[in-house]
Amino acid sequence: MKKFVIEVLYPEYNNLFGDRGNCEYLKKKLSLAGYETEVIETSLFDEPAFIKGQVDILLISPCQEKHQLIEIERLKNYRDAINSRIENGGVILATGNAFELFGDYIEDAKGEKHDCLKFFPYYAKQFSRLRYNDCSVGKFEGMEITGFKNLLSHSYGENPCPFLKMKKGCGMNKETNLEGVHKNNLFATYHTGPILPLNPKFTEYLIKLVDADYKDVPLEFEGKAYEKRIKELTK
Amino acid sequence: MGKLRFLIAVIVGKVSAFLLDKIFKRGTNTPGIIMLKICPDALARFTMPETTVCVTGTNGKTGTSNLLTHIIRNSGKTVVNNSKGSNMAPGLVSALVTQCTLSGKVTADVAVLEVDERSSQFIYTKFVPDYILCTNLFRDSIMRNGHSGFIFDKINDYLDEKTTLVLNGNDGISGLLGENRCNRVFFSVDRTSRSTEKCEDTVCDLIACPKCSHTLEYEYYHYNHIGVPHCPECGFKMPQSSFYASNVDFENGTFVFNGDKGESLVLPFQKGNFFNVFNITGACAVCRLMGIDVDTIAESIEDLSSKTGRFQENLFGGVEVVSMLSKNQNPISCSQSLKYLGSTDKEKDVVLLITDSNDKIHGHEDISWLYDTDFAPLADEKIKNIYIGGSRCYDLAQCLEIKGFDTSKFILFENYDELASAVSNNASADRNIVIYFELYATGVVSKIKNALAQRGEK
Repeated sequence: MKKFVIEVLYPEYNNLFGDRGNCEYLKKKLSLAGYETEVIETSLFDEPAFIKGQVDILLISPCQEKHQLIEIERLKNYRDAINSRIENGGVILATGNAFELFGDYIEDAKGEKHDCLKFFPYYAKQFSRLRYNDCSVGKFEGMEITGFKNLLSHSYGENPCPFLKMKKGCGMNKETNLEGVHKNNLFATYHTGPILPLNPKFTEYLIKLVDADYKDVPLEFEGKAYEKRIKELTK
Repeated sequence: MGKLRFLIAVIVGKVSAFLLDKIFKRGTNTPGIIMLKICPDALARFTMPETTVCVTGTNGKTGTSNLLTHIIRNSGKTVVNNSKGSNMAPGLVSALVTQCTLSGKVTADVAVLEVDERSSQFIYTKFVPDYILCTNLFRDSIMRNGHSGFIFDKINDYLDEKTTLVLNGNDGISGLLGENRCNRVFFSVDRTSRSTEKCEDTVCDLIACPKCSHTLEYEYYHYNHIGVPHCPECGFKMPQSSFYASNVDFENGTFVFNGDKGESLVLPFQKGNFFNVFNITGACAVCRLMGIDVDTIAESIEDLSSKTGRFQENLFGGVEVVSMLSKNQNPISCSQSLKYLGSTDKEKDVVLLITDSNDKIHGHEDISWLYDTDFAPLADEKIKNIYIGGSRCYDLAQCLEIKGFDTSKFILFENYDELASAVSNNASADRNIVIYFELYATGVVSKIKNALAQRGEK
């Protein structure tokens, strides 16, 4: 039985908006396809497992804005390792405001700038009080990807390798339909919520990046849930 | 000019409140909405009564403010409250205008006002409450509330140092409100027979220390992050509680309330509703701070506990139906409600109407919260059928399937009429029907009950 290793980064903070559903769904799908799954939960003060060991998928979920700044300081210690993972094709799925970690900086509501990992030139600006909500649909390699957004920030500036071209809902800010970032096997998106169970085909795509021989076993209701949402949001 | 505008607003408010009460026989926010249009700072222009108590927090606001109102009235004081309107500024204005002079002097002795957490900015800046009781802070409806830190800031940024905060000493999130700024009094609940060493719920909103970010340890958990946290790294812990509940007896539905002056009272709580122990303890703490005597408190709670219920029980043609409101898109409220399933031995069918039944008006529902909800009680073998209704029935079914539930028990209906007929047609006197419904699905619950009633008549 092939073993599949998933690392969840900083679950003490990165546990908002039902994103735990991504890991649960991966486990379920892999289990149905006959894989053994190991989930490594790495706390803030521990060294991430992917640095020294084999990790097939690295998950980074959204967190509170104040916790985001704490995390960035920790992740700066591992910037080179994260860069190597991106360049070497390691799979990373970053959701919600985790998208911002890979950019240039975050400007908070008071105008103070906080440096991020600076892999990409875009930068985030936090709003003062109101959050941005959306249910949206974007395209990636012929797939329609749907998800939710709950944000206190948008990103601006250059984004040389966007993940999604949005059909419904905005991109990384309201003036663009380009959303997230995709480089090699890094997928970072502002979409929160359980983006994998919401998008079974994309999940299959993601797993196949790790193991091309993966044979998908659909869940009973996942297709209907997906199709109904896409139909409602794009009508 | 401001005084004149306020006078006009009060007159219009009083007239509209009177007429609306005569027409609709219930409270509305309309007088407040009109008044705020005429005089945007109307809330700041009322002369507030001798004592003003605001009740806020994620869960338990309504029950706690109703309880407070009841006790204070029993103590002989007159109370104005917003139980008939909303917990936002128009609701508060609508309530106050019904009990004030033309100059805006509130005539009641005490104001007990339930306040929406997100409205703090528009309320605490208009008048300074003597007390703010915060029941707790959790993650709540994602689209409205984002996360608990976002709501914490929304309250904390607008607190006045003259307000006494009455805070949940078992909640390491809301328990930090007004730190180093306000007078703070804590209430808590001692370890119970159901306290756990590990968090057994899906969600824990406080895992890392709020001071140093290291992982917290909990002496015990009551539920979710409600418990006794401490940080082994920096020594963070919650302040000592002046008021606390002890000897919680789940079998008999009683506990002991212990006050700051050594007084203790045996009080009842609604069986199966552990939230209620916190709400009563918080309300009692405020009452004791206001100087209300223990006998009045004890009599009031005894009196009220028999009249209120967390859920409704009905019998239709021999079929027992339990319906429980589950706060919209609130994973904590929903998880706690589902725990009821474990307290009944009888075979049952469960009807889940917990996703937004009104999404055609509200827009497409963000269903992320389902993944933060504990559905474990649905694994009960005594559950024979699980009906899932509404536009998002497939999402909920998928979520449950991922969590490992037996899909052969699922019966899905997008259409609520068809669901009501199916529930009724398949009902059996051998099984209870337990309905979980969100706020806007009360009409669907009525459809099911009507279908069962008609079936019983045949």
